[in-house]
Amino acid sequence: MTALLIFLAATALADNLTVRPRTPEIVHYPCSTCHKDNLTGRRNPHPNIALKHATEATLTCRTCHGNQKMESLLSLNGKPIAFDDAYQLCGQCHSTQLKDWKGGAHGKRLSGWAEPRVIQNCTGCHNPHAPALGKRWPATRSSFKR
Amino acid sequence: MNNPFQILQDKPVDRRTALEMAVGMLTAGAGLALTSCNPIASAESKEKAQLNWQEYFQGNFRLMSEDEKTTTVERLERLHELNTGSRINVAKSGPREKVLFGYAFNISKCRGYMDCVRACVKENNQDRKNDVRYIRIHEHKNGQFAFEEANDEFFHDVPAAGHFYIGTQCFHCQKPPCVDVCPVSATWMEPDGIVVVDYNWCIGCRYCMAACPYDARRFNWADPMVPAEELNPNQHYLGNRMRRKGVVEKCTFCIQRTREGANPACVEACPTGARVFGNLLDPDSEIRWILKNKKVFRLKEDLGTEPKFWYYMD
Repeated sequence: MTALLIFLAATALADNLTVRPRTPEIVHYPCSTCHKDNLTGRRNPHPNIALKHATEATLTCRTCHGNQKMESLLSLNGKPIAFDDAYQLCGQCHSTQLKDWKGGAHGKRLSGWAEPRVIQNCTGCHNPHAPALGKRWPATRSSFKR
Repeated sequence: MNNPFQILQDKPVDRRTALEMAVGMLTAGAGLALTSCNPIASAESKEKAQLNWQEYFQGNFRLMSEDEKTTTVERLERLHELNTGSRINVAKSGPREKVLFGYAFNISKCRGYMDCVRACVKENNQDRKNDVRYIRIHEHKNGQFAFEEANDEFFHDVPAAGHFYIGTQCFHCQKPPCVDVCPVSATWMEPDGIVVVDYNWCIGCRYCMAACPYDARRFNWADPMVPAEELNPNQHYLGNRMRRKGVVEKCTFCIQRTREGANPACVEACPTGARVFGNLLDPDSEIRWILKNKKVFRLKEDLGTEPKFWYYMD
């Protein structure tokens, strides 16, 4: 398992610290399989995805995806950001979280404490379209018998 | 092979002790003789009796030579095979150089999902029947931090509005009071900072449980029950190998995993990233970054136990 994670980890954040790539998790990647041309019109090509992230005034599909060069994400001033580097996109607004994540106080470490270390991308835990973690039933009862 | 009774033999023995030992050996030996000298007993039951006999006289793990450690873990593996028919792997790996383990817990991130507890129970072969657990998750009202007021028995959708969650377990104190009080040196701190128990050497007096200010230790009131299909076969002598009735156990930072470079099961299972584990002596580790950049605190700092377990907030 560890070996697999290290193999999958492509993006280096520092020496012996890599970020788990995003693209192997995206079912229909590369996007050009369907989106041959630039997107035109205002219709949402993925009507099954409901955006629950910030407000509509702040963020729409195009804020992150743009309507051309669908293979990559777009920074706020239109520079491409690879899907594997999703943390760079998220960090534009969530700079505190990005700093904590790089240092180790936010996010999840995958391979173990020893080097080479692999860390989870933002999108490994948060659904970028609805990033809040929900409520759920605990995995087991809290009480214990002494 | 070195003599496994070396420690016993090296001990200066006066007349009284020698008599006591002789009586003890006679009593134990009678049982062995019944099996091993019984012409109709099977070879397996003879072997089992012999291994049990040897285990009874094995020394303290900390004082064993490498050969003795090998013999000891192989004996455990063989006994398990004779008893259950399944194979386990008991490691005896020692600490790594320049490693001191530390832990950080983000109370802003913990949401009471309890995945850590479930993973810990499975990983460490804890008694299912008596629900032994190393980790406790306490539900506090916002603004409240008295553990007496915390809800330790929540079972509802989490996180509950207006509440926060904090987990406690063994903090692997650098000055562990539990180790000081053990009358038989069955518990000690390893060079990599993990406080461990030799379950074969523990006499079950529970002084350590009384001395621990954090309620981190658990006592086996009965022989632990783990369903055969759920038994974790990857074990460590000082970690998750099966305990017996009447001995104390505790969190070992998953010594069987962490000595191999992996994270403890609780860290791996946590879906929120609230748990951070690492090497305190590595300046580039996550734990060191947290200690440097976050406001951290420990529980009952005034006791001077120096836990290697810090809490922090976003």
